[in-house]
Amino acid sequence: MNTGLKKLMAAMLAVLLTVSLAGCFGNPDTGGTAGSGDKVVLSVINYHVGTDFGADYYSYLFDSFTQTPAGRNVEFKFEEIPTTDAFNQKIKLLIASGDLPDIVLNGGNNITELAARSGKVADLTPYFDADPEWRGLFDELSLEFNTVDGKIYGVPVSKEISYIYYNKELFNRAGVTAPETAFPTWDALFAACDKFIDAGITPLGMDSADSGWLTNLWFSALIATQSKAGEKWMNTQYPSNYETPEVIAAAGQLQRMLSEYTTPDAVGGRYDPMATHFFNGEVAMFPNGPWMIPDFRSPDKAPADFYDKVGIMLMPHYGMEMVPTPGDMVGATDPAKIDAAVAFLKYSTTVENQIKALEMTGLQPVSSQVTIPNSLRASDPLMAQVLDISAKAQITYGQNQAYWHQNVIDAFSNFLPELAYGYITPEQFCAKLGEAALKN
Amino acid sequence: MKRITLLCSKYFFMLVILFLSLAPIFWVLMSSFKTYSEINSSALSLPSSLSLNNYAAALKYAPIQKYFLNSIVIVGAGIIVTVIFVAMCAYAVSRFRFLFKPVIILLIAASLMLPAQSISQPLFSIFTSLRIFDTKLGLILVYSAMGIPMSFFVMLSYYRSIPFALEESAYIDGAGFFRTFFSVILPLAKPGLATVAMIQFINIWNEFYFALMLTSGDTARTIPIALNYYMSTFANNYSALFAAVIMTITPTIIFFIIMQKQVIDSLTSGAVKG
Amino acid sequence: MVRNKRFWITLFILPCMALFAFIYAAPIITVIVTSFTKYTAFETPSFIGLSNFKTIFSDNDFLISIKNTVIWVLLQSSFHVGLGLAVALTMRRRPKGWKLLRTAYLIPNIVPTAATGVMFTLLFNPSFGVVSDLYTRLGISSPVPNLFGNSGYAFWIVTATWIFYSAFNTIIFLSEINAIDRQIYEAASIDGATPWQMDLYITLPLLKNVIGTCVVLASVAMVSQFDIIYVTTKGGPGTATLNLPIYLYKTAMLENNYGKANAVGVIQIILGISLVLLIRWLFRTRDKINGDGSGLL
Repeated sequence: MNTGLKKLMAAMLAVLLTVSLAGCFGNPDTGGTAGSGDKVVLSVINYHVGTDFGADYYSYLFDSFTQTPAGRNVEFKFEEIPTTDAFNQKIKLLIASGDLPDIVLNGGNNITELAARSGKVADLTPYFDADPEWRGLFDELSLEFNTVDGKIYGVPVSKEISYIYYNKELFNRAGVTAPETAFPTWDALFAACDKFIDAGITPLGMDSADSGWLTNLWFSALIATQSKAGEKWMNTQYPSNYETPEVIAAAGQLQRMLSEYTTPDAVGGRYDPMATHFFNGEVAMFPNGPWMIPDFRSPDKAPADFYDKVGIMLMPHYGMEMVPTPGDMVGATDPAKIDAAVAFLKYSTTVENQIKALEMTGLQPVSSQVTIPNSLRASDPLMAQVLDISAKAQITYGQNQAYWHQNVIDAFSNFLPELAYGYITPEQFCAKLGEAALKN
Repeated sequence: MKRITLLCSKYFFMLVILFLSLAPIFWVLMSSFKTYSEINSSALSLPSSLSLNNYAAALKYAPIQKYFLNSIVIVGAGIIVTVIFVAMCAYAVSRFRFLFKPVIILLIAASLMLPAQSISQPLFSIFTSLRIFDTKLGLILVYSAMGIPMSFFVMLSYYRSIPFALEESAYIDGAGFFRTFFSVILPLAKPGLATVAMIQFINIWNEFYFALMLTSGDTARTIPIALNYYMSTFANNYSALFAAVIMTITPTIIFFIIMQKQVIDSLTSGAVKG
Repeated sequence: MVRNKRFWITLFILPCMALFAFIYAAPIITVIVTSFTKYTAFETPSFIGLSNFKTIFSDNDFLISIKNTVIWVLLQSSFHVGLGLAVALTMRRRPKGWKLLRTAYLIPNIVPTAATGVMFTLLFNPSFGVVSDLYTRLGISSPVPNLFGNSGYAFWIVTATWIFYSAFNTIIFLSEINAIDRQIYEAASIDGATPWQMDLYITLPLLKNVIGTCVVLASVAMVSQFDIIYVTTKGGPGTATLNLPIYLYKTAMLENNYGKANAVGVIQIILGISLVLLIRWLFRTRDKINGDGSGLL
């Protein structure tokens, strides 16, 4: 080795070492002492960051809270964790180790039950009891959904609904008349699908990767609209028997839809290419919730006039998915912090903020007392139409991400392709789901 | 004739490898200029424009400059610590018999495949109680330790290929333990050290799990976390993701080229075998 | 012969083992101990003997994940390492462009897994990916194979995301080849040996040891392969790409069953040890270069 090189390497080593050491010991303190004397510092792990659909709304919410009387003394200390997948991994670790943040946002995945059973989140029932006006904002179902062993742990901020978006232009081209509210039966929907196929148009948007979101919406609707028993099954938290006649029949119809009525990339595919098929006018009907509406106007995602081409209908039999959402929790142990955290959660559910959330992100108000301002009709007619049509639903039901165990959702996503290609029968598919449910 | 066929097939093979190597990065580069719609509706088309919008979006969504610097510090230190510690430890183990030698080898072999998910929980507790949670030091320690098992076995095998006779003559000449190691063995083990550094770099540069679990803020987070900012399930922005990948990978590639020219060539020259 | 031998050995081993113990000691003990307990997200550990191990060995998914892991290890230690060796041997005589190739070959290794995963799923999308493009160009009208979505192909396409990228091994081989005395080749060349014969009779035998090392490294990497499978197929469709780390992840994160997950962890630890033993035994050298004769183990 020549001396020049030796010097170069020594220099590089030296630089790296100094940089590293400076980096190691130059950290600011990590304790909770930031801010002036009597401020209450609330730690939050926020997953509404980056490209998350709620990023702007949540940054507004946290900012504006510190300007209210209740929040004037509060200072937030944020940890950002992009994606709910990463967020849930970390929250599970923190539940186990007992280091939960003061405000525990809820990223789904049965976190409420996990946190409540661990005893590391605060029982919020007394706060609800002490403020009847606040409690009155919520319907019983929403609160029940956030109750474990008789105690309320989560404050739900929205309701989740979904239905079908359809492309009016493609309906015209295939000569299919779109129903005003919904196809009366699944057979009517499938008959329309056949017409689309004849016209060379793919009728349905479906997927299977991640959690198989779109397919799950079809599946839930199929089960719930089979019969009264199906409706009940689809409104049950953690069902254990997946081999009921309704579920098996629905799986059979799902198999048909996956193999005949959707795009070739639906099997094994993620949500995004499927949404793009819909934006590009390659798919006639697409199940989803109101949070998709802002995308119809996004210049990056959809063609310029796409928003005007979209219509809305309910699932056949006037079915609509509607579930309470898992609410945000309080992980603080210090009484002052618990009070401040509850104050924030109250603030996040004020009527004004529910409307704000609806306008900014399409999150549906959790409270039925929220009246939609007329301005919305002009600025976002599609969103207003959602609110109108949801009142016409005759059957409402949940969907698997709200009601199933994590590993059953995973089995659903993993075995959909097997079902689609006929490697397993609908019966075997349902047996696989049941097998997974038993592991819990 | 046979010679020409041989030559042709050799170059054909090289071309195939070159294509397999450059195609992904070229594809990522092209995609970094595409829109959401273009990315999700055609895999092979060229971008409609070469606008830098995605690059701006990438910088807006995530603190990638900060995380990139963190990555450099943490990965750099992680490599140096592992290389130095393992060079010494593996030398002692490869050359001498002592009481706990089998135990050491067994322990290190046991941790070769220790799953990250299983060890994050105890590590988290240790780190918070020692106040090295969410520090660069904490991640450096984890990454250095993570590099030990693989590096250890690579170095054992390298030391093994160095003839004993060289050291024996050094000892006869009156050199001590440390001098023998430093001026006889280490220069010969340079290829091994370079290999270890390279493996360590690739393994920890893309490490996501511990970077997420053992940090809570911007002081110690690394590039793989930054990339997650573009990956929200129903609202991802792959265009920005690819733009961020290009921005962070370019300096790395340049660094590699310089390293290869200046360091690897000199490190790996010098014959000892045969 | 060596003065203060014990002092120096201790000094050389201590820093490494101290760091190792600091990070690994508590976790290894925790994993092993809790693998014998009933330990879920809802309850604190309580001893249940071998129950977790009985459960996983009677779980068909677990056996499939072992099978897939074994196939991947075999493929990786043969084809993958072999390809790395072939590239190194091609570069040995420094043909035109070898430096470019050496640097280029490394690049795929530094592309983040998240991006690689997205890239491959989009590239092989049956509606608009490479294959459908090829089918259109060639005028093939049969349905485009859904490489990631159909369990008939998924295993192989997931394998293809990593099997060709063997730059690691190439670098290791190249540095080893460079250490071979040039004079041997010159002598062989004078004796009229063809390049092929030189590789076969000179280079390869001298690389035997390092091939063993590469096989160990490749196998270890395969047994712990997680990221790219997680971002492409998550072990599906069905169980087509399920391997041990994915199985463990699902047990810990989706079933919240930490005791059972740690039992899988223990099996991975045992697998790690036996793999090292097995491969060292396969590649054991009969010629003792060094006096001590102790190689990897």
